Parts: sequence; structure tokens; C-alpha cells
Amino acid sequence: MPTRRQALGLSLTVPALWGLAACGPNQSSSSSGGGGAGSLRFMWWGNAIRDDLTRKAIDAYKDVQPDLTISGEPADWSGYWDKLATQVAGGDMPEVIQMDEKYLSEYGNRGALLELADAGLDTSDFEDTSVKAGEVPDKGLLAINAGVNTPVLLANPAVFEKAGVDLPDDTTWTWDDLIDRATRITEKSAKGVYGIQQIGLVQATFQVYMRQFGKDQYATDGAGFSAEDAEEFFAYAQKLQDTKASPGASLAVEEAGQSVDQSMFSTGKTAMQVAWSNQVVAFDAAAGGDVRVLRMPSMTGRAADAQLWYKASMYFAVAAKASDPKQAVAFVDWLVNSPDAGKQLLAERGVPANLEVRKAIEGDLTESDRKAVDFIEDIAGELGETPVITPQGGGEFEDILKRCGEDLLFGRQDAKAAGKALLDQLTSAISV
Amino acid sequence: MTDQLTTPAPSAVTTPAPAPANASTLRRRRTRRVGPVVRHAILIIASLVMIYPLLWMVVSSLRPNSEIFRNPGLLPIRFNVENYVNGWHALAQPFSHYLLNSTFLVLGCVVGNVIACSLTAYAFARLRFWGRNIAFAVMLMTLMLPIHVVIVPQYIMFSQTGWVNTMLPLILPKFLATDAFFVFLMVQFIRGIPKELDEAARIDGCGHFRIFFRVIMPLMTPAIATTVIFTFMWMWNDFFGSLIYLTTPDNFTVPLALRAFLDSQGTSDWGAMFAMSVLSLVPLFIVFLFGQRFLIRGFATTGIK
Amino acid sequence: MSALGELATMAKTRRRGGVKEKHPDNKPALAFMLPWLLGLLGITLLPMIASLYLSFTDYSLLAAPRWIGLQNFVDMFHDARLMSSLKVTLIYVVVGVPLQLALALALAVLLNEGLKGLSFYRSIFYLPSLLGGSVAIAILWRQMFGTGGLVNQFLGMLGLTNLPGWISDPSTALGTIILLHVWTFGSPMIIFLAGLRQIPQMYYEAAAVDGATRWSRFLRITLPLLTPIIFFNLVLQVINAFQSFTQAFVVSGGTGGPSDSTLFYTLYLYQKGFTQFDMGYASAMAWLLLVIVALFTAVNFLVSKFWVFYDD
Repeated sequence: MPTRRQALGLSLTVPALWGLAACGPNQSSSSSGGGGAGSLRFMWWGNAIRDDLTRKAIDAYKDVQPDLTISGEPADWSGYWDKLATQVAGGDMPEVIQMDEKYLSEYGNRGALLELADAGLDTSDFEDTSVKAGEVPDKGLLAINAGVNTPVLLANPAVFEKAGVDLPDDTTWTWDDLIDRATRITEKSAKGVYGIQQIGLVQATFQVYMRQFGKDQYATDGAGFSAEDAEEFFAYAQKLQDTKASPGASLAVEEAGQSVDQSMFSTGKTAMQVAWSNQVVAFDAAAGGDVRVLRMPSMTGRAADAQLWYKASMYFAVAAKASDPKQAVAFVDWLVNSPDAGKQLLAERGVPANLEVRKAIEGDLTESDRKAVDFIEDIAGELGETPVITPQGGGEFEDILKRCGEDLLFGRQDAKAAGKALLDQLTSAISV
Repeated sequence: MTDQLTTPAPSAVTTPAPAPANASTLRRRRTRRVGPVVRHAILIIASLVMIYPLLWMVVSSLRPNSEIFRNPGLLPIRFNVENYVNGWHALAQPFSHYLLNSTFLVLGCVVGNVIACSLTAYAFARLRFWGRNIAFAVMLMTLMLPIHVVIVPQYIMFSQTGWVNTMLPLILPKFLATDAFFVFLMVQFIRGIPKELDEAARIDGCGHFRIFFRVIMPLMTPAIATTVIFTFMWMWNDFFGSLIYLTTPDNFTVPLALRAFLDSQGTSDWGAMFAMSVLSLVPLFIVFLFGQRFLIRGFATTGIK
Repeated sequence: MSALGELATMAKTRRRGGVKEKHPDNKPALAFMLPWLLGLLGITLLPMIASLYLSFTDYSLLAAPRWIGLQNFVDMFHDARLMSSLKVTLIYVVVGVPLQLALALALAVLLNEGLKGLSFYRSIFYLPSLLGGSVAIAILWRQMFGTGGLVNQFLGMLGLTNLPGWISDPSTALGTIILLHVWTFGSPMIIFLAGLRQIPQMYYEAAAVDGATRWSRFLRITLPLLTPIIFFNLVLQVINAFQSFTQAFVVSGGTGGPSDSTLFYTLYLYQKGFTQFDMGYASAMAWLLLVIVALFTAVNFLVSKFWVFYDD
């Protein structure tokens, strides 16, 4: 065991850094964060609204487990991952964490996460496919769905109306139809208003597109698409730019880095926007409250061929070496299974995957929430296969797609070169 | 002396000497009168460019969320204090809590840096000791590694001592002169102080510590003021270190709290973020205004001639 | 006292004297340097050594490091993104640092003279630096230099058309970040100001008696006496600029885009270490950076012998 020996060598020479090599993943030590018996640490990313709802849920858990102290540790998205990785390195991983699909196998394959099914987590009220979203090959259920998510196409009826273009019938529309409508909107709207944002830089569209080819972003053994598939996708992106259905390169790149509130869609400068269903509430609020949730177009004009799927907007997971795994799993079980927890958390993390909880909170949902819930229930019969979980290194995909897409839009490379670059770079990223 | 503090203009340089009013001095006087006007004009235009972001922030903090990004200009100005009220109460604790945490952190760091860095700097600048050049090179080297690779081993160290989620990992290093920037800064300032002054003190029988406190410290007020201002500013804005070491919201500092308003994927409260950002600038600005009075207290005004 | 004893003490003092001549202040130095020494040994040095060790390992942060020898360093030389990030960073250092320092010095000198409302201007000019790398600045910067931003609106009024989105266009993005850097010249300006105040007034008084012009006063007195401070700013700004991270991070949303045009070295290092879980490689990158920065700094110090004046 060379690792052990090196760990030993290091620990002899530099005692203070002992933890670095010897701890490996996540021994939740009680030395920090107020650990010890009868306490849990729960870390999540989010915003002030989520922080507030989650704190209320933690308070509500006091009725279930009065002796347990749970310390809530919120962070912002990018800070969260820096912090979590550092804590895992230091053997200080919180017992309960929020997890994203992008990094599930990074943490899971390195043994940082506890298998939840064996640990007694109840998933009987879940839809099968939403449980599967947390299963890592060969490792089992490492994370439990905290909210169902699916790619959606948002439309702003006001912009459609101003341009005199009808909203599409999303059960029959095609990608060509999308370009056609978008182009007309650009033509008939005021200067600076476009049909749709440049979706060539958006990961969700790429995945939908690949799935409609009968492929996917990933296969079990690497990238799930060929360079030619990617080339076709980029050719479509190029067409969006050339027909002015989407804004030019500069604006498109700017748009790809914007937050919900700053986006052209929210400020009424595009009619359509690709998003995730858990973002409907944010976009609805930012764009004035009348946003329509549509299916993505298909190649054939049949909704069932759109190949949509349920993803987890995020998960809850438990540290593999939590000091008291039972307590931690019990808490997660309560978070996802108890209607009491559901009443606190609502649909803020996405539509609850637990059908009982979903029913229980129905009365508490806002109109925006309802749009997302209805959409998710509408497409239940049209779903394609559950995609393969993002492999280790795949967290970089969005950056790679943006890079290749930017080179394409600025005319630095054609669709063929971009397709090849995308595949090459992804392959090298996930072959680590 | 105090007079000189507030009017830094050295009289001998800028005010015209009473001289016979011949043609050439008249001309010079005219250019002098025009000079300040032109300079003020340049400075005012430059000021506008410099101050624009702050104006925009203040204006945005007074606007409802829906308007902030729909209107890129400064007008119309509204006076909607809702963001301030909301922002103050939106997080786990009232915002004053985070302001106090930041204040505590910053004060600790300022005291630490001023004491530890000036002691070290005196040794580097004035004492001749074994290994000085090597020590100086090592010190500079500590500045050259990016924080992102050092922070993980450092975190592991501090987590062994159980200091995570306290301010110790952020404050203690300052008392141990780990901020090489300020050591170097003070070394350069001390080297600018004429050596005759120390020697005079030594002849009077002063030891190094007395020279340091009685001669050097008073003469390097500008450097100390700079250290205070910079430490205050950097730690007040410090994000990465605070992010890694402070885990629960009751220990959060202002930059950590501000992030809670934003969510790149979902709902953000921009108005509240701008409002609290503006508020958190106030202490910073006060410290700067106060500190710059000491910044300009140099040789020119300490009466050494 | 015997003659022998006397001889012994003489020898002792002579030997001591020998040490004293070279390093007469060892003891007080130890006292003054104690905090620093403790900090170096207890806090700074260990993590540095650890990162050096990690640079020879495959370390994901999530699992124990595995020794892989020089592999990371070999990989670095085949890493096209690393080379491009090095180029971006060098441009930033070579263009940004001198521009910022020149502006800071010019304004410091201007603000050091007897003009009414000086402290007001000083505060205003320092404001952007106070705002620093905050989120608000990133948003503002994007708004100003965006396709429909203020800068383009202004240029449009001058009749220019076909303007790029300065931040989203790969050919101009780095330029706008350099501009952002120059714009936050407040910190070096403050240091220059502090330095200017330390120049003894008697020199200027003497020069005034000699009837020296403003320009020659600047060249003969201000500039030479300010050289230690200029040198300090130069050395530190170069070191900092090589590690520049925050501005590119917040403006590009952490990607270094568009098309890697603002992918600074440290930003790439951060991506490797924290988002691609390759801290071993990131550590190797950090030590390459250290060598590069150390070389630049060494050259700075060597050259300083020819232009920096100390009073000692």
C-alpha cells in the first residue's frame, strides 16, 4: 500500500499536516463546528430565501428530536464547493450536505458519501426515476433527490404578442419551428429584441439535442456523443446566430454569464429562454409574472420524441464517515419524507420527488410554483431514459461547451472544429 | 503644528514670495491663478469617473428590484428605503451582527499587523544580524504562492487545533507578522528615515526598543496609517479566508453575508445586496477619512528640520 | 586578576568583537523578529512545504494524495491552456502594472500640492479601491462595458458604430480587465502619498531658495527620494499582478472566458484545484509561478541597485 506508506512518511516529517494524508475522505471529527454526541452539521448552498426556509425546517425537527442540535451552514454556490472540498480534505466534512449531479460521482466514487438505501432511508413514496437519479454505478444510492427538475423552455407572451407571433404548440413543435418563430420575433420587434437567447452555449439544450439523436451527453464508458453529433448541434447554434433568431456573438456571450434577473429574457429583450424547471419561479418573478412553461422542441414534432427526463435539482447526502450516521440518515429521511418538512421547505429546491409530500404541500404553493409542478406532471408520460450520471471530471462540461461555443460564435472555428474540440476536451477531462 | 496638519501645503513652495511686481512675476501669477482652475477641472472630471460606480450603487440600492437592471442609468433617482429595511432583516441575524463580526475581525487584524509588522520591519531595516538577507528573501517568497494552494494545508493545520469556525485562524497570523506586504512596506519607510536620528538617540543611551518606540514609530506614522487603512480594507472585504474558516452564520462577516443575497441560478435580492453593500462601505470610508489625516503626517510636519 | 586570565578575556572580547562587527545586533534582532519567526515556522512555512510535497502527487482533495513524481510538471508543459494563461498573465503584468503605477504616482504628486479640497479628491480617487473586487463592481463593470453599456452609448454619441461588447469579445476582454486594474490605482497612490509626506521639507525649501522650477524639483528631489517607495510598489504590484485573481474571477463569472481570453494563471490554477479536483496539479502550477515571480523579483532587486536611493 504505497499510499499508506507515503502518508506515514509525511506524517513523520510534518506532524501538523497529518490530517492531509491520513484522514482521506471525511472523518467527521468532532473537533470543530460544535460536533460531538447529539449534534449534526448540515451544509447547503442557496440564497437568503432558501436559508430562511431551511432554518425553519431545522427548527421544526426539534419536535422530532429535541436533543439533537443541528448547526445549519449556508453558503453561496461557488463558495460552497470550495468550502466542502477543503473540509473533506481536512477530515471535517459536515454530516449532512446538499449535493449536485455534477459532482455526485466526484465525491461518491472517492468514498465520501454514505450509501443511503442500506442505511435505512425510506424511498417508498418516491417515483422510481427520481430515486435512480441518485444512484451511482457500483456504489448504490449515494444521494437522495431533494427536488425534481427538468429542462424547460420559457416563453414571455408579452414579447410574442408585441411581435404578432403566436405561441407555439409545444406538443408538436420542432427545432426548425423554433428558429422560424424566433426569427420572426426578431424581425418584427423593436431593435435589440430577439427571439431566443443563444442556446448553443447552454448545457441543457446540448443534452436534449443529443438525446433526440438517440445519444446522450454521457454513456457508461465516457462521452455519449460523436464529434459529428456535436457538429450538428453547433451548426444549429450557428444558424440561430445567422438568422438573427438569437443575438450576435457579443451579446450571446454576455447573456451566458448573466444571473436570472439580469438576463435578456427577464428584461423583456428575448421572447424565449432555456432554463430548468426549478428556475421558473425566479424567471417568473423577474419577467413580470406571466411566463409560460413549454416543452423543448423535438426533431420529429412529437412530444414523446423530445426525450425529456427528470433530473434532481439537487440532492441531500450523508458523509460516509459521519460520527453518527443513524442520526444523519434519520434527519435526511425526515427532510424528504415528512410532510412537516415539506411544509417548511415547499418547492424551493424543486418539486418534491416524494409524491405524498407533493400532495401535502399543494395548497401552500404559489402560482409560479404551480406552473413548475404542472409541467413536471404533464410530461410524466413522455419521459425518455434516465441519463447516465455525470462521470468524474464531467463537472467541467459547461465550461468546455462555453469555450467551444464562443470560438464558434466569434468565427474562430467552424461547427466541425467546434464539435471535435468539444468531444476531445470532454474526453480528456473525464479520462482522469 | 496642528495647523500644518490640515494644510499640507508647504508655504515656501507654492505661495508666491513677496517680490517686486515686475512683468515676469505678473505673468507667473496669472498662470498660477489659471493653473488651479484647470487642475480642479481635471480633478473634478476624473472624480466623476471614479465615483460613478458608487453613485450607481447608491442609486440602485434605492430602487425596487425589478428596476435595477432595466435601467442602466442614474436617473430617475428614487428614495425607496425598502431595500435597507429588508436587507437588514433578511438573513439569520440582523445585519448589525455581521457588521460587528467584521469589526471585531478587522480590529484584531489591524492591531496585530501594526505591532508585529513594525517590530519585524525595524529589525530588517536597522539591525545587522545573521541571516538577514536570507530571511528577507524567504519573507518575500511567502508572498509568491497563491492562497488557493496554501489554504488547504493551512485549514488542515487549524482544524487539528480545533480553531475552525472561530476568528483565530484569521487574526492570529497577523500577530505573527505573516503579512509580508506590510513588513516590506515599513522596511522601505524606515530606511527613508535618516540614520543620524537613531544615532543621536543611541548616544543619549537609548536601547533598540526605545529607539523603536521613541524615534522610529513617530516618524513612520504615514506607513502605519497606510497599514491600518489597508489591513482594514482588505480584511473588511476578505472573502476566501473567511469563507473557509467561518462556517456558521453567527460567525459570518459582511462579505459572507452579502453573498447570501445572491443566487446566480435563482432568485437574488439585488436591492438588498446593494443596500447592505452601501452600508458596509460607511465604516470603511470613515476609517479612510480619519486615517488619511495621519497619512499626511510625515517629516514635513513632525518638525524635524 | 592573573595575566593569563586577562589574556583570556581579551581573546574572548576580540572574538566577540569579530562577530559583532559583522552581526552586532543578533540578540535584539531575535527579540524584534520573534513574532515573525514564530509565524514563519508555525503558520506560513508548513503549508508551503505541504504544497511543494503535493505538487509531486495526484491529490483530489477528496482522497489521500498519491506520489506521482514529476508527472504534474511534465503535464504542465503539454498543457495548452496553461501556456495561454501564462501569456494572458504576462500581458497583464507588463501592461497593467506600469500604467497603474504611473497614474498613481502622477495623481499622488498632484494631490500632494497645495490645492484646496485635497482630502476630498484623495477620498474620491480612493473609492474604487475601497470597492475592490466586490460583486457590485463586477456587475457594474459588465453594465458599463456591455454591448449596450454606457461606454458604447457614449461612443455611439460620437458617431462610432459596430462597437463590440468589450467584456464579451475575446479580443477586448483582457483590455477591459487591465483598465479595471488601472482604475483601482488607489492603493499604490496612498503609498506614494505617504512616501511623499516623508520627504523632508527642508530640501524643497532649499530648492525654492535656488529658484528651481516645479519640474526640476520633481526630478531632483521628489523622484530620487521617493525611489524606495516606487521600488516597493513596483515589486509588490508585480508579485500581486502575477497572482491576480479576483477581478477576472468576478467579471468572467469564474470561467476566464470568453475563449479563455481572461484566463489568468491563478484563475486556471483555482479551476484545476477546486473545480476539477486536481490539487496536486494546482500545487505544481503554484510552484512554477513562484519560480517565475521570484525571477522577476530578483531582477527587480538587482536592477534596483542602479536607481533606488537609500539614506543608509
